[in-house]
Amino acid sequence: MQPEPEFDQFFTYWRPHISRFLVWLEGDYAVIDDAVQETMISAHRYWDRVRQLENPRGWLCKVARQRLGDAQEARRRQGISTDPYDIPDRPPPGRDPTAALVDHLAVIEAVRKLPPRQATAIALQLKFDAPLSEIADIMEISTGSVKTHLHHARQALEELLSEGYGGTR
Amino acid sequence: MNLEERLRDAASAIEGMWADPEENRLQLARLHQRLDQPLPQSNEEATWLTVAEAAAVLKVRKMTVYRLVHSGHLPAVREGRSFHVLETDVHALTEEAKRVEAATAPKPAPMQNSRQAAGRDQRPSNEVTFLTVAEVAAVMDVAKMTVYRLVNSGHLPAIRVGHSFRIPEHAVHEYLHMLHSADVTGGERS
Repeated sequence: MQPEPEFDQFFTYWRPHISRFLVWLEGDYAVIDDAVQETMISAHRYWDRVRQLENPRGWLCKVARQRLGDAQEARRRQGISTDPYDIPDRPPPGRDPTAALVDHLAVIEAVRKLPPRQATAIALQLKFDAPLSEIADIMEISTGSVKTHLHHARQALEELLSEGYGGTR
Repeated sequence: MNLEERLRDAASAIEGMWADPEENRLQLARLHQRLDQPLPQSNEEATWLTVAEAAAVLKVRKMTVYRLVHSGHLPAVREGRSFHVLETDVHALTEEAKRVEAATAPKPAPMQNSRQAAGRDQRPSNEVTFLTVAEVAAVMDVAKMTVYRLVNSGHLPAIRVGHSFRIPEHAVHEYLHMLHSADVTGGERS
């Protein structure tokens, strides 16, 4: 196979970003890695078209979301649950220096517990600061629905995160 | 701290992850390894199938084939307004499904199966025929619902295609044989 420096660059740049997007939605890093690999395989397959995209972010997120679903499905078939409710709780943070870190984890895990579409919408907003129109395009829904999802997501997060740190669900 | 700040904090914490260039390189190497593998399909006499033909081979609806194409699971070329897919790709898809099935199928009872398994191995693997739920129901002379129950309870191994199941024919026969022999030994015991 001939070297494809352009694609390699693309991969090196986007892999971390897509992973950081998916980590909002999935706690199993192996599943995330698989999903990102599959996304990149698709990018390679359609490289002629993907390289011409002005901003491949939307395309990548769209595909990554599908591939994450596939990877989760595959994991489920192998009998390992990826249900966020099955992931053991982190201990509640004390007043120690790691408290900030644990709070991040609590926030991320709260997002993962949201319904998938709410989680996706808020993940896109937090990771990429994506405008509503782009989120709508990625999720293939209207901007109005995006606003609804974001609003419900914030409401639910408020509730999930208010009742004590990392606490009750 | 309000919610918005906590969300932003977590987001910026995440920005520090996957930052290891070495790991990035490893993953890139892994990707190239995978891309290099399925190349030897470049023989000239590749057979192209229409979507309808592929659907017939896979025993699914045309719509499912379109979905597989769009999701990237089934590579396709466009000719005008229609898609064509490589026969080898379709077979690769069934092989993949079979591999998943083999990995997830409940271990067969060890006793009676060694001979059957040996016989099965001699057969070329592409001869495994898959049945739809309706067909299995007809073979076993039970309701379709019973077949679904057997699949869900793990008594019958099945692969998922879209929203429906396909069951390898030999598994149905093995299951019936197992029931039969269980019946016989049960009869002796009582």
